[in-house]
Amino acid sequence: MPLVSVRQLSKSYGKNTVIDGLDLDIEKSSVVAVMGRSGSGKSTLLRCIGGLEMFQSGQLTCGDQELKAHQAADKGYFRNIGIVFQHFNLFPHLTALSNVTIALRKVQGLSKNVVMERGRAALETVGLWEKADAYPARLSGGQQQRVAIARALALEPKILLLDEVTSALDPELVEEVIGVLRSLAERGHTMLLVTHDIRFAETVADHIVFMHKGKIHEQGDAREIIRQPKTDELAQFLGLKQN
Amino acid sequence: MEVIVRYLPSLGISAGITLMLFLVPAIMGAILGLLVAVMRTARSVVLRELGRMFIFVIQGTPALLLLFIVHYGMATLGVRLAPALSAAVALSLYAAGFLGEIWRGAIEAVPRPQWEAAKSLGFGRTQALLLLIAPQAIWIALPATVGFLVSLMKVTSLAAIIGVVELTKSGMVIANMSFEPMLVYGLIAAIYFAMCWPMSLLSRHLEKAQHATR
Amino acid sequence: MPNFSLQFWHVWPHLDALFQGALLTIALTAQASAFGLVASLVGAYALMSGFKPAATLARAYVEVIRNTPFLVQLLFIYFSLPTIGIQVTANQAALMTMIMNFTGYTIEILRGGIQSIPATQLDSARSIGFSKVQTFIFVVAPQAVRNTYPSLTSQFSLLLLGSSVVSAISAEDLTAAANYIQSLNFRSFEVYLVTAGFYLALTALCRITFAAIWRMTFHRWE
Repeated sequence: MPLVSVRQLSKSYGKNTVIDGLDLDIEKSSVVAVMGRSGSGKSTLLRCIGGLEMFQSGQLTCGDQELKAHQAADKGYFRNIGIVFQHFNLFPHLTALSNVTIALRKVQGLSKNVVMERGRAALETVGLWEKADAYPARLSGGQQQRVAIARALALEPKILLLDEVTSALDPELVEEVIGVLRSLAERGHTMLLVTHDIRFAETVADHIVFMHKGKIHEQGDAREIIRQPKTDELAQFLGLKQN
Repeated sequence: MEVIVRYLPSLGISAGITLMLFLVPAIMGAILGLLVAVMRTARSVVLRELGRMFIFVIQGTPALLLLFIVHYGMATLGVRLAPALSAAVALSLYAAGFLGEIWRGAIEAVPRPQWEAAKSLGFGRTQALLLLIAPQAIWIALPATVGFLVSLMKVTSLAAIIGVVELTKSGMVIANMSFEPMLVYGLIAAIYFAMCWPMSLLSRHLEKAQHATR
Repeated sequence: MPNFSLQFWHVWPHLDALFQGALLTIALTAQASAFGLVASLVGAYALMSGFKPAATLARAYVEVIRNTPFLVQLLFIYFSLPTIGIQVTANQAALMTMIMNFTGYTIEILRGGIQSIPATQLDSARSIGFSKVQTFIFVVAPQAVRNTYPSLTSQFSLLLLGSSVVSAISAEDLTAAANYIQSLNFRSFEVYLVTAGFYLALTALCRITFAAIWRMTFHRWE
């Protein structure tokens, strides 16, 4: 039983079809990287799975929650997922710790002790417990992104969704985020990453899904399909073949 | 000159009336303005349009006319209010019309991704607005809000025209009795200046502070 | 029991008086903003010139105007001038105060507009031999006005609405006309409501006119 199951998902913006009848399974503890050109639909796919976008047809199952076409995700659905955004989206008026714990306190209504425990654990996992009282403005991009990851982790979601999480970072800050994600993968977290960074996908993911024009064009074991892409489009995307 | 000195105490009382005409509408207008701002950003089209029409009417009508409508207008319909009360009501509506628009702008100025992050953490729209969006909107709205309060302070002078014995009306009386309009109105202006200028400086300071954090 | 029957038919016979008043309101606002714009350009120039006394004077002027009520300014002008020998009618005092008031705000608006003009513009002007004054008139002022067009037009609208205060010294504007009419038919609510409608119509007219002016002139500079 895969943890996340996407069946015949279709999404368009007006006349523009962004995702076209897509099927995808994500097994527990696997790390799946979704890659593709701009406009291939990869971010939209993540946002649909994340409950941020409604889709026109198809079906989405995430753990024990189900989303049908034209259905808005509810609080219960968001319990299962943790999203990390490209631009971190930390709340600027809250400290790092408050950012991490506010949903636990206000949405899930957990007790003070549990909240503190989970907050501390999450920040320690990303290596930023000593910055618990710092405001986002005082943190570097890499640190802010790690706090964002901690914020998603603290929810104890079934799957982590990471949308181009290194794209907005200066190159020297990318390593610290990749390090955290690698350790999360080793601990068995289920993750779906959208990225255009091939090296990133290769080092962190088990499984790569290559999207082209709203469909899955090719997928397979991470290291294999990067070295030996089966389709022309993927080869071109990887820069192995001239157009 | 002696006339002026003799009337300084009553000038002090009138200044107090002006202060009341400022504080009451400021608070009532803030409450009502908050309601209007929330209406303007609501999901319901009906609420949004009602809010928009309110702001449109208030901002498109001279403040003096608002005062007249509430004071003289309501009287002809049978509702007789004391001038000070009419002024307080009219100015509260005036404040709501402007603050509502300022605060709507501030709420909309909070970046969309903040709403998404809140949603992804499971926050409902109201909770997200209260806990996560509003604090940011308040900071954004501060310079314009303080700037408007300066306007409100100045607009209280219009209550003189419907007979409220606030600072300006007091000045008119004293100027008449002392035959020194230049001195008296100069003094009145100086008092308003003393009340308004600090707020203006604060507003500018807040604006600079915001640009620094960008 | 409040009598909420609205009797607008008492107002219609007096519409021509309202139109007369509206005409003066428009005339006052148009003249005040025209003179005010010129005065503001001078004031902005003074403010941004290196000449300390002029800059300080301009700054003080702006701060005084922006931190004192229009009504007080109006009363000051109307009642003080006669004491130093200058006789003014209510309409004249109204115009003078409106110019003064408009200038105080517009200097600040233009200052922002002037600052946003790239220094390269000034370099080009100097390189073709323009003096500082010529640069200001031919290069800086037009661009500053264009850059701040929305703020300037909104200031015009504010002036139009604010002009209602001149009725306090019996200048014969739209609000004064309304005052007169309701003293005749005692239907204050209806009269003032219709008058508010007039002001709304006037500001709508302004919006359309300014949009048209924009399209016909400044828009083409893009």
